[in-house]
Amino acid sequence: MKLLEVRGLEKSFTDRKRVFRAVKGIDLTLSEGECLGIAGESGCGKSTIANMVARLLKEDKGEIFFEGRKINEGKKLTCVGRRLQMVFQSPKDSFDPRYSVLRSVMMGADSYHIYAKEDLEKRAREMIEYVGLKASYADKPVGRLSGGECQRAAIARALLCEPKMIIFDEATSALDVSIQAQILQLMKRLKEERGVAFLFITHDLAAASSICDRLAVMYAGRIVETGRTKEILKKPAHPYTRQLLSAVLPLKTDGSYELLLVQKYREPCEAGCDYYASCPKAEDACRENVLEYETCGQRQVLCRRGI
Amino acid sequence: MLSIEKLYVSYGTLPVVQNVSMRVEDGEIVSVVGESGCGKSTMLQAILSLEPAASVTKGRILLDGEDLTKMGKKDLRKIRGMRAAMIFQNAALSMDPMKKISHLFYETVHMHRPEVKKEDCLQEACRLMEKIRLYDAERILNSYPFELSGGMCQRVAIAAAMMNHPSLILADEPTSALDVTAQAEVVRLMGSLREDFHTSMLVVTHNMGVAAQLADKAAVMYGGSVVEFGTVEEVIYHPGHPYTRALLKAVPEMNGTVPEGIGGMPREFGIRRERCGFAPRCPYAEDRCSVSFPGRKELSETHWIHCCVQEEERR
Repeated sequence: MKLLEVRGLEKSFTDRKRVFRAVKGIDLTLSEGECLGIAGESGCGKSTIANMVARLLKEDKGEIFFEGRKINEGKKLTCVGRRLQMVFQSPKDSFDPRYSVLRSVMMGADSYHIYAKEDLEKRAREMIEYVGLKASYADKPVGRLSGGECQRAAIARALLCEPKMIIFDEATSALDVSIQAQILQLMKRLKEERGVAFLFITHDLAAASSICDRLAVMYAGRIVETGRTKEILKKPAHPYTRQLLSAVLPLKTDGSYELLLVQKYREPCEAGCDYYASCPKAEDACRENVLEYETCGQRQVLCRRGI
Repeated sequence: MLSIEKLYVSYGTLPVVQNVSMRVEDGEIVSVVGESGCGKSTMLQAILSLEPAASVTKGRILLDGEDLTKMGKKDLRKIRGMRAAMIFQNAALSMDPMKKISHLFYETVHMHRPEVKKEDCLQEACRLMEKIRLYDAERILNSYPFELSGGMCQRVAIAAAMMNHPSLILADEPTSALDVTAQAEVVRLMGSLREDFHTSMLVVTHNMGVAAQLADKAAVMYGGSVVEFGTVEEVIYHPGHPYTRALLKAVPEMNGTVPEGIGGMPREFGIRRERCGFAPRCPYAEDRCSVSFPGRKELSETHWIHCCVQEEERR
């Protein structure tokens, strides 16, 4: 049984009578203890997916199963509960700055009544140390912490609920490289020691590649390529994946590096491929074809040109 | 072009930037890298006295031989935007949301060259925008900042900064609010502006990739001081300071391994520079590191570090 299964997820937003289709039919699966990265540029709908899975946003269409149970029934947004937790992009905004670290960390677990009162505080203090914060930080107000420390506290808060899965929504993009590396190290430890599954949402393929087992590359509300991280990095099949990979500026160049810029080659088309307008390799046929995934093992590509 | 000599900047009594010296030559791009809170932005803002709370306590900042620290407010206003322009981290926030983009361009020019007519100014803006691959110039000029995407706003801000053809651009984290695609675009754009206008740039960034691709020289800052300075090749391929090495190791390498990171937390402010700031986190630290601040050690003509541990001892 898959831990998370998403089928045909769709969502559109209306802004001044203009309908914007943010997510256009997404299928995803996540096994226990696995880390799936969703990568794509701003506005491609990756955070919308995260919010729908975490039940912060209601979908228009589609089904979401978590631990085999359908979680998107009924009119109201139902709380998924302690098994699915989320860590947000802006660490400081996800806390009340006046609360102490201890109180903030306890808050989630407290609302689910997982532990007895006395037990809760002890475990919270242990958790604060587990994520790499000093024990003395427990009584500091959250507002006094730096960005990286806040993000650790957010992870501690999520972990205290003993989740099966944590959604990281751009959790490392606001941090410095050195702090990002520390958080990635912590995530790796969680994966190994606690078997927590991650949904890691990011625009930075470099960060995603270091921790994720599988990657899904999104463009304009659709997943254009998915597969094992190593395979995608080695041989990206979709032209958009190639462009996204080239946007990661390398430290050392061996001469093979070439920056592929977003260019508008032709007018966009309604029916065909979303990437048609900016695709360097599009043909006339890309205008008309309603695309279907080409599958090869774990690899799936949404491109007429195939794998 | 720009020469910073033994600069000390404090917030009140809190020393933030301590003894920073560096030079930006004509048409050269120098990037300043380091973690959050290392004082790199404070140093940059002190150049044009943009942060009222921060005051230069010692040292000189020479722009074409003129000392900016001794200049009055009126003279500084003449330099800001004309001879030295600034690009901020969040371009959309640095623009007036009530005014259209066309006003931004006109204001920039009118401030320094009141004789230029509005039509001429906007025509110039269109030409400039085309150069940086913003093809929809007419529409952009008639938009408000919030109607544009983050990457577009940043490029518009760069175009506006170039309006008076300044000889120096100061950029404070110009790409860190953008996603990687927009970041790559901005980096290429800044490189091409240097080719076209021969502009010098001082770019503050925490992204090592941006520094590697954009700059000619790099300064690594830690705890308010520059600990390493050299050409980009020297700093990235042959880093001398243990901090630079740790920082480079923290960059994800796209080969499926999790980067190492640096143990411990960045140093806090308010500590006087009596010893090496990195010593508590440094794997090679010795007793003498916590006694005095290490002197400058030249590794080559253009490359120097502040570290007292010998090269041979580190291996």
